[in-house]
Amino acid sequence: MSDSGKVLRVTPDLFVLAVAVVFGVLGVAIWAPLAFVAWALATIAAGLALRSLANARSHLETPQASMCAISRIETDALPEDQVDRCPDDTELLEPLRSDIKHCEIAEEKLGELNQQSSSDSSNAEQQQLMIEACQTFLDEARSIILLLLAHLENINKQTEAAALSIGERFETIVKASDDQQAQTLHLAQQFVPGKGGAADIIGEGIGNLLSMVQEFSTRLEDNAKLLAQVTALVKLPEEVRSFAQEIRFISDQTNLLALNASIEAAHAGSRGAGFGIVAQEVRKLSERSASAGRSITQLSRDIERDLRKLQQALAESAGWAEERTRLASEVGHVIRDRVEAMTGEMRRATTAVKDAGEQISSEISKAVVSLQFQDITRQEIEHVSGSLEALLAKMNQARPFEQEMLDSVGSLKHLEALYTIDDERQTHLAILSKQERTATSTCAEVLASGRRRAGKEDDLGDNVTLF
Amino acid sequence: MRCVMAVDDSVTMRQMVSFTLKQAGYEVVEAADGRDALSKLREQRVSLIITDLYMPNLDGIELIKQVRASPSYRFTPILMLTTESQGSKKSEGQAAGATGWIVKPFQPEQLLKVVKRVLP
Repeated sequence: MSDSGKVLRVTPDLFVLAVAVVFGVLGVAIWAPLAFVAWALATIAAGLALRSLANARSHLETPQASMCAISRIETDALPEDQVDRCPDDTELLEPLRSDIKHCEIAEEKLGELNQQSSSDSSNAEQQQLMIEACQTFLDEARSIILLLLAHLENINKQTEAAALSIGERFETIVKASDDQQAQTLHLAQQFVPGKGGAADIIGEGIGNLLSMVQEFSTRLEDNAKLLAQVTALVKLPEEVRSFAQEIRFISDQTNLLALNASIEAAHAGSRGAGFGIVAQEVRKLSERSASAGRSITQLSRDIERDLRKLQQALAESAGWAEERTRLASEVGHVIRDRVEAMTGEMRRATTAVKDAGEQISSEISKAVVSLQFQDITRQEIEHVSGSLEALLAKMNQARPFEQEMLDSVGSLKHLEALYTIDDERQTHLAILSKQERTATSTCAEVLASGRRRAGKEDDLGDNVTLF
Repeated sequence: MRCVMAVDDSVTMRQMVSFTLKQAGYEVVEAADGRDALSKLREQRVSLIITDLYMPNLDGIELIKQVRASPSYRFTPILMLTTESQGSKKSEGQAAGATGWIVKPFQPEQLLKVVKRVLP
C-alpha cells in the first residue's frame, strides 16, 4: 500500500511542473521580446515543480494520507491561478488533459483493486499497474521538457540575432549622424568670422569696398572745393572786362584830346608843327590802347567761356561720382547686413545640429543599456534550460518511486547554484517562501537610475565597485 | 590610441562595449572567452581588459589569474563586467587581481567614466 501512495502522489506534483513550465515557456514562444516575463513564469514553474517534489517526499512518510489524496488528483493537478493566467490556451492544455486521463484510469483501477482484495498478490498487481501509468506520464513529461528546451534554445538564438542586428543598425545611424554633423559644422565654419572661410573673404571684400567709398567721399569733398574755386574764377573775366571798358573810355577820350590838340596845332601854324606831331603820337597811343582794350575784352570772354565749361564739367563729374559712391556704399552695407544675418542663421543652425546630435547620443546610450538585457535574459533562459535538463536527466535515470528521484532538496540546490543574477535569487526565495516578488531590475528602472546619476561627476553608480 | 580588450561570450555585449568605447575614441579588440582572450593577448598589447565572469572554455576569474601571472600584464587594469552581484564572487575577483567590478547592464557614460578612472 505504501508504494502505491508514493507513486500516486508524484503524479499531481509533476502536473504542476508540466503546466507551469508550459505556461512559462510558451509565453516566451508567443512573443520573444517578452522573454523576461517568460523567464519569470518558467522560474516559477521550476520552483513549483521542485516544491511539489518536496511535498511528495513528505507524503512518503504518510502513505495513508497519500491514499486519501488520490481523490483530489484532478483538482490538485491544475492549480487555479495557473489556469487563470491563460484561459484561452485550451490546445496547450491538451497533453495535460490526456495525462489527467491516465491518472483517472489509474485511480479507477486502484479503486477497483481496493474493493476486490487486500491480499499480498493483488497488492503486487496493483503496484504494477500504477507504475505503468506513471511511466506513461513520465514519457510524455520527457517529451514536453525536450520540446521546451528546443523552444528555449531557439528563442535565445533568435533574440540574439535580433539584438545584434539592432546594434549594427544603431552603429550605422550613429555614424551617419556623426558624418552629417561634421559636414554641417564644417559648412557652418565657413560663416564663422576669423576662421579663414567664406565669411572672412566676403568680409574683406566688403571692407575694401567700404574703405574705397570712404576714399571717394574724401575726393568728392576736394572736388566740391575745386568747383567753388572755379565758380569764383568765372566772375573774374567780367571784372577784367569792366577794366577793359575803362581802358577804351580812356583811349576814346585820349583820341578826342589828340584830335583837338591836332586842330589846335594846325591853328598855331608852323609854331604848332611840333605840337601836332606830339598830338599825332598821342592819337596813335590811344588807338593802341583801344586795341589792347578790345583784345582784353575778347580774351576775358574766351576765358569766361572756358571757365564755365570747366565749371559745368566739374559739376557733372561730381554729381556722377557722388551718385556712384552712394550706390557703392549702399551695396556694401546691404551685403554686410545680409552676411551678418546669414552668419546668425548659421550659428543658430549649428546649435540646432549640435543639440540634435547630443539628443541622438543620449537616445543611443539608452538603447545600449536596453540591448544588454538580451544577454541578461539569455542567461536567465539558460538557467531555466539548465534546471530542466537536470530534471530530465533525473527522470531518465531513476524510476519514479526511487528515493533519488524525489530528492527535491538536491534539485533546489542545483537550481540555486545555476543563478548568477540577483533578480533570479530573489525570485527563487520569494516563490519558495510564497511571498510576492518585489525586486525586479527592469530596463526602465536602470535607465531612470542612470538619469538620476547624470551630472554627478564622481558618482560611478551602485553597480560599480573599484577595488 | 588606447587599446581595450572586451571579453564576453555574448556577441551583443561585445558589440555594446566595443561600440561605446570606439565612440569615445578607444581601439577595441574582442574575444569570445578567456581562452580566446589569452591567445589574442599574446599577439597584441592592450592597456585595459574588460571581461565577463561566466564564459565557456575559460571563465573570467581564471583569465585574470593567468593574465596576472604574465609579468607584462601584472599592472594592467582588468574590469569585470558581469550579471553576478554576489559579494563572495566579487571578493574572489578581487583576490584574483581584478581592478573593478561592474554589474550588467552598464550605462555607456558610466563605463567611460570607470575606464578613464582606471587607465594609467
